[in-house]
Amino acid sequence: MIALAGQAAILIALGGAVALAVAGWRAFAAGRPARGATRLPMALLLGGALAAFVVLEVALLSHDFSIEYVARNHARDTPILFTVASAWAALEGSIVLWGLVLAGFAAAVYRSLGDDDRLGVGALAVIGMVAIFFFGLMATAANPFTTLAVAPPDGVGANPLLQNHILMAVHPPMLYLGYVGMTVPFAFAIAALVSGDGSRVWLQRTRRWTLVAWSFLTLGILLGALWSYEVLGWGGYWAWDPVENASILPWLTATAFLHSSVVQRRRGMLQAWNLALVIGTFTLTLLGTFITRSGVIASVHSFTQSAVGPAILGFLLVVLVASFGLFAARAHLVVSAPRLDSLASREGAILFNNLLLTVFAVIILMGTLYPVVLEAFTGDRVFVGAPWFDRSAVPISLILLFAMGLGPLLPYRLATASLTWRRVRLPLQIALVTVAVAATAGLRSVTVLVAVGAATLVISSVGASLHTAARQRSGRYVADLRQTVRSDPGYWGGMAAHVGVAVLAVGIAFSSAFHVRETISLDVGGSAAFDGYQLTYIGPFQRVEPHRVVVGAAIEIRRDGRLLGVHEPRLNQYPNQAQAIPTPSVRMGLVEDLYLSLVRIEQGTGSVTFDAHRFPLVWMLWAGGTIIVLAGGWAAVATRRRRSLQLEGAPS
Amino acid sequence: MTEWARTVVALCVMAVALGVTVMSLATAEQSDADRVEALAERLKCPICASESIADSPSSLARDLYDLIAEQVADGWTDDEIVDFFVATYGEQVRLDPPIDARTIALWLVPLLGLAVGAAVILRRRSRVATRSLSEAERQRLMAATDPGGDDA
Repeated sequence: MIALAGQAAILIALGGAVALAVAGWRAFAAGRPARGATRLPMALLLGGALAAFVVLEVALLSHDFSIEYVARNHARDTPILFTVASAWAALEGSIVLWGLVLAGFAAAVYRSLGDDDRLGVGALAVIGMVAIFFFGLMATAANPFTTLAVAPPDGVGANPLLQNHILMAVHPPMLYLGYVGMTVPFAFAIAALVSGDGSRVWLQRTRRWTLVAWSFLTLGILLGALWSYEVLGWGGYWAWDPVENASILPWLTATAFLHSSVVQRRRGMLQAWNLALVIGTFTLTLLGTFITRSGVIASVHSFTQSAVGPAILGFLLVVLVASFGLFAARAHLVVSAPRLDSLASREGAILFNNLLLTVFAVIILMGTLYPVVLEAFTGDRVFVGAPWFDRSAVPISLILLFAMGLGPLLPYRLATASLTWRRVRLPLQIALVTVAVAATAGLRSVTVLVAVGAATLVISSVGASLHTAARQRSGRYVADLRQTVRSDPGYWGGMAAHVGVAVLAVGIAFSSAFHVRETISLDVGGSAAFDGYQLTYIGPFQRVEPHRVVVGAAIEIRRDGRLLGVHEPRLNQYPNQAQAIPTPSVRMGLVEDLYLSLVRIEQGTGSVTFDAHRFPLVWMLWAGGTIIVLAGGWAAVATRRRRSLQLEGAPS
Repeated sequence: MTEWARTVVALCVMAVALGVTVMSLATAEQSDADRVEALAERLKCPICASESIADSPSSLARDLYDLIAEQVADGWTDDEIVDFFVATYGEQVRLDPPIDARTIALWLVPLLGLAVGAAVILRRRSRVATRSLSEAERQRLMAATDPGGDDA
């Protein structure tokens, strides 16, 4: 019964997607687009997608084990939060959520349609086509509502890694909002290409949608890093795992677009490049989907192998060929090409930024796919791991950070040496003095010193330009600061994001360069010194919870004789997996985190082995990331509010 | 303070700061523990999917970590240690593949991308000589080309 309702919902949504593509295209082609034509298809798509998701949740919450997905991913003992999250914790369900998010974005585009909005209905048609693929997938290869002939009395339960921490319920939806959101700029780009309309309208709408998706993508990646740190127990937040790489690829190209679109708006340059970036970003999200869902590349994130992989790969190829074919055939219509006056200018700096971001993306793409491709063609196996990525990522990131400090100080068109020097002088002095102080204080890593210098340069140059801009207005300083920032949310939002990146970079540099690790074994009552801390093993404990057995060690932490607390790193044993999942204990601090991860507790004697890690300044990573997300979100919201105010307000 | 004085002060501050930094760095040296950690991060744990010896929680990785520490303490060079691991566990133990016929594309493609990108940017530069704008002209231009400040 429930399964039938779910099937029906998927078919309704699929029908809605087909109708949306057809109605959108007809309205687009007719040249006199009316919003009304897309209303019913839109309602069907959103209603069907929502119903499919709700039905899946109902099936999970009512323990309907006649549905295969529920039997495989749920058990009666699964806590309610993880039961709800199970709806997107495995392959088929994740595509249901994917579809729902896509339908939601389509509805948001529908709501933003203006009168006679040819570009808008064209974009809706493209979103409809993408939706046809995903709901078609749900109806066939990845059907979440296939039933079992005999319903088992209980299910297998969710993947232990996923039901170990609350972040796992939040991280995927945020990432999907980012991934799926990139469909909207893509749709606008295709509509602009087909209509040959390269006007600024296309760019403004695309940029805002990209900003929305980009903010969610940033948040999703950040939550993933936090989850890795809090759950996986190896003490890191980024491993250059193929699926992590897949999420950073569209982030890099979208970031490049957020910058280069400014050049198009200001100087009318780079139209074709912007289109290519938007199309490239969307295809990279599809590549990410393929890597995650095909099982081609082994990773902690992969779902099981299935027919879904080839289907997504096929769709990826179709999109790639069709959109870049369209690009090659039509790009000349939207391109006008004023030339760059000088490389020493804001647009020159942004071009440099785009070059670096794109090359960075190419490097990560190569490192991720090369081993697979090489093995497929020659049978040779090479391993491209973290050191390889670090070697290119570290210098490129440092150069980008440095450029981030200088670029916004350069004027458009042509930066003369004297003007540039006047603007750069003070931030550069602040940065170099900070580096000298850090070096004298005992910081001995060149990489960290460069990162500190570049980050200080970014922050001080943003501060200096904000100060200059505010001082040019008359009146009270604080009010002028607010006025300045509000007058151009896109720009100042970007500057705030730069500050966030600088803070994040310092966090990464310190926590990776000054990471200390030690494996410690203790008998009950024993104690050991670790990097200034005194760790005393009080004893083991065991808790039987409905869905798992928790084994842990109580460890007392002291520093200079002062008790800082008792920490309990644990190992969680789930019935459906042999290997225990760790829950490390993290003591977050302003100077450093003390991180304890349990390795094992001996049967009988109760003696313990655990890893102790010290990570300095990890909080800066989370703080910087949060600033970036908030800055992006604020810029997207504030720009929109400003525009609607302008439309309502007096003629400008 | 005049422009000229500001420039002189700025240059002096920068020079001193740089000097202090270089002096401090010149006295630094890498500790054995750092070397062990760096080596363990470059070598893959032989029984793991992709984790390094430093990151893997497996007991083999822990034993190998201790082995690296012994080798460093015995005065082995980094190359000797890596060669030892490659001889024992095969090429796959390197997380950082060396440049050879199989991996050359991995290095060339990004470099090629960089070169092509740079060439395209350079070619698009205008050949017309441009004059710098005065501050007043610049303000006027910014105001004229700014379509309402929707930079987002």
